[in-house]
Amino acid sequence: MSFDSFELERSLAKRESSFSASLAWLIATAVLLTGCWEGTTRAVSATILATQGSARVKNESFSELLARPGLALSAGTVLQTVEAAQVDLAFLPSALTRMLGEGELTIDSLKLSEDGNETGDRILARRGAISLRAGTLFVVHRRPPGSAGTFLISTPHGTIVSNSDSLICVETSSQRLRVVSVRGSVEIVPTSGQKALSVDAGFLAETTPQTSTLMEAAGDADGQQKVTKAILAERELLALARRRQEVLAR
Amino acid sequence: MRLRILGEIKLRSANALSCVSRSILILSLISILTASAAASPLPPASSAAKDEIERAVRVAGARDGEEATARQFFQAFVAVLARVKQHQLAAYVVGAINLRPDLSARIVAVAIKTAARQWETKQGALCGITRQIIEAAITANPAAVVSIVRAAVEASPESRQCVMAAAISALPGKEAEIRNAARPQSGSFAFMTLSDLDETGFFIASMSMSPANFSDLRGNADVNSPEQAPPSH
Repeated sequence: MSFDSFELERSLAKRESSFSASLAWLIATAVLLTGCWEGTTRAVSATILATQGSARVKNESFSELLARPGLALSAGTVLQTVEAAQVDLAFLPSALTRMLGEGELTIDSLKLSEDGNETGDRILARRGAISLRAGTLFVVHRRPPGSAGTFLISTPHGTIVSNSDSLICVETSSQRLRVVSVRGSVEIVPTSGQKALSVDAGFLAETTPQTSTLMEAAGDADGQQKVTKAILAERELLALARRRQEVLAR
Repeated sequence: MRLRILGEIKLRSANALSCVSRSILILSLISILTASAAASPLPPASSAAKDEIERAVRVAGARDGEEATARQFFQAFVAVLARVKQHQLAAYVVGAINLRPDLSARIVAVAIKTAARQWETKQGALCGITRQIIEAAITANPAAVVSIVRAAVEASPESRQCVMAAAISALPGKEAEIRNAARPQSGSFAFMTLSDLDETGFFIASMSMSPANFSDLRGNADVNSPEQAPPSH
């Protein structure tokens, strides 16, 4: 074998190995990137399911409207209710709420992550965040099977985090935040910097700027009533949402 | 020498025999104890459960469990059940029935509804817990078997077979009455039963809703799915 042919062979072998390395690198990158694929995320809007009494909504697009069933509310919308009012909302198919009495709620963000751009693509995650400045809110949060789901409720005294199936009642005012958990577990992160509280089913947590307490809901008359009302609210919300096909199938 | 060996063998076999018979005796005792525990009419925690429910009833505003109105009793009972784990449910049902035997059927219905709410996605587990509730309730108040079965089936129609099997196993002598009570009721009768049970607010959800909500929804042509992009107002 002459020196030239030897060199040629060596260069071919080198090129072949570099091609194999590139191919391996490409495959590895593709595999790794697929592993990191979080799908496409888009903002969605909430829907008013039902109303009783007087409630108003306002955002950048429209100055002020009377809340009515079927009205879609995008991020940034503020919902204001007066005493004796009741507004049922589907923030996401996995997050239904009932706002009761005088209060104010702002939709911070509602996002869906899908496994592609098509309507029929699998939902990877449903994430919602709202702020409750004042009022009483019953929240039904269902983590969709096989996907992620988070619902955050910010209040003046702390943020409530629901990462799994839960049924809770949140009551906030300038003095305190009370959370009753009827099903599942939620976490409260107090704004005062106190230690986060985990509120399990059947428990009631109260947070003020000075203290955080946890007790059995059955040990408090108001807590007991909130459990009953939450169960009724859940049933009615699910029925309303099913009629509009805005709830996850179980 | 041979005699000594024979003696040794006899001794060893006698020892082995006594060891085997002792083991059999111990095993029999264990199985008898297990069987009697399983057939025990009162779950061991039911007394503590009764005390807990009684405390909650006082928190609800009643002087004691016996004098509480049905509304006070169920407000307390439901709040207590929210914290209860699956394996404790039957004990709380027995505790509640011991406190208010007159409310046996509704206690069972509330417990089954609670179980269905907590474990709705686990049908197998739900049937198991339903059976435990029914067996414990009927053992605690056999006289109320018919109303217990009827209320249980109304509370969870999909658990009819589990309810019936559990009731028959708890009270085999009443099989005919149990089968009759578990039969699907006509619409009007179901409505009457539901109305009767509604004092707790747990059995009439769709009927307790404001009809205004539905007419509003039906009349609204602009259906907005929350999984649609935000509208441009």
